[in-house]
Amino acid sequence: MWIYEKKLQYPVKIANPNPKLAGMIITALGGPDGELAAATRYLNQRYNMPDGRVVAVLTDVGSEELGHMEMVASIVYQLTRNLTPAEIKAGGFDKYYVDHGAGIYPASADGVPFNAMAIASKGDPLADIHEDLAAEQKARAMYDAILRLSDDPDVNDAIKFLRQREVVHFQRFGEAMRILMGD
Amino acid sequence: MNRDRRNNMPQNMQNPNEDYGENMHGAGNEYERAPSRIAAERYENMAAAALLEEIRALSFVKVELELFLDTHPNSQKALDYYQQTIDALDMLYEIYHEKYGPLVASGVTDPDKWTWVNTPWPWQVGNGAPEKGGRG
Repeated sequence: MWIYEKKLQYPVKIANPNPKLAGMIITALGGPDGELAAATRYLNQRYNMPDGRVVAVLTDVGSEELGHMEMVASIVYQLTRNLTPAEIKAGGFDKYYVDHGAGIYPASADGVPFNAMAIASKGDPLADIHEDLAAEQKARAMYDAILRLSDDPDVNDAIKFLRQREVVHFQRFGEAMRILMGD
Repeated sequence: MNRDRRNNMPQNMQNPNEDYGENMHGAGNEYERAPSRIAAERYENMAAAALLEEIRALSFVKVELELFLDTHPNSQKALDYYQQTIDALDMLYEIYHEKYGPLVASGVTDPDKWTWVNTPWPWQVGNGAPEKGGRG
């Protein structure tokens, strides 16, 4: 069960619309290393974990990723406010717009819809926890790439928060791995 | 780290990762803002945005402590922090729900009106205040 809270985990307040940036950041929701993949991966891997501590990490990190989906969606929503057709075309947002308008649709920056092939769930605790460690690093690298390409301080503030959470989650998954190995 | 000592240190000398193993990543400084030793009246006069920011900061501490406790379930220090954090959060939620409306559906306090549907949604710019004219 989950209970919704009417607040973001970290504030998203973006002053200037920017369709080009929105078209990149959508990958943090629906791309191969995005938050939808993260939440889906962890929450579905929980069932076969043999240790309550590891189940708890997957449950609580997976739940936090649901909140990160909401943060990324909020960034894209705010970046695509009040756009004119000329701005949509100039920002390269036309292909997204023609299929989804300014709606939030989980896809990669390249326009590939979210695909569960981006995640694994092997029913094998060690295989899954290693996948999770890699996933946090891949997500961190994705956020690093966004930070290299974005010069919007409002966007970068929220992205830096999300990037830092990947580092903390990696730490907790490392501890979960050592628990599984009997340390 | 001794908390009294930390309180006397300049802000830029505090390393949240110091003494890692018993301390929580980054939670220390936020935690100092928290708990019950701060009187409720300080919060009762706060504007909605400022109070929400306090709740958000403490909720972050709560999430960090939960993750830490998942892999360190016997850390008494973390358990004590957690209890104080949720006690403080309970108080802040109660004030917010009463004055500014629900942050969770069960926080609706008006017996005659389901205010869940017309208090702001969090992705709306301005910390919840609806944008003028709505979505363009």
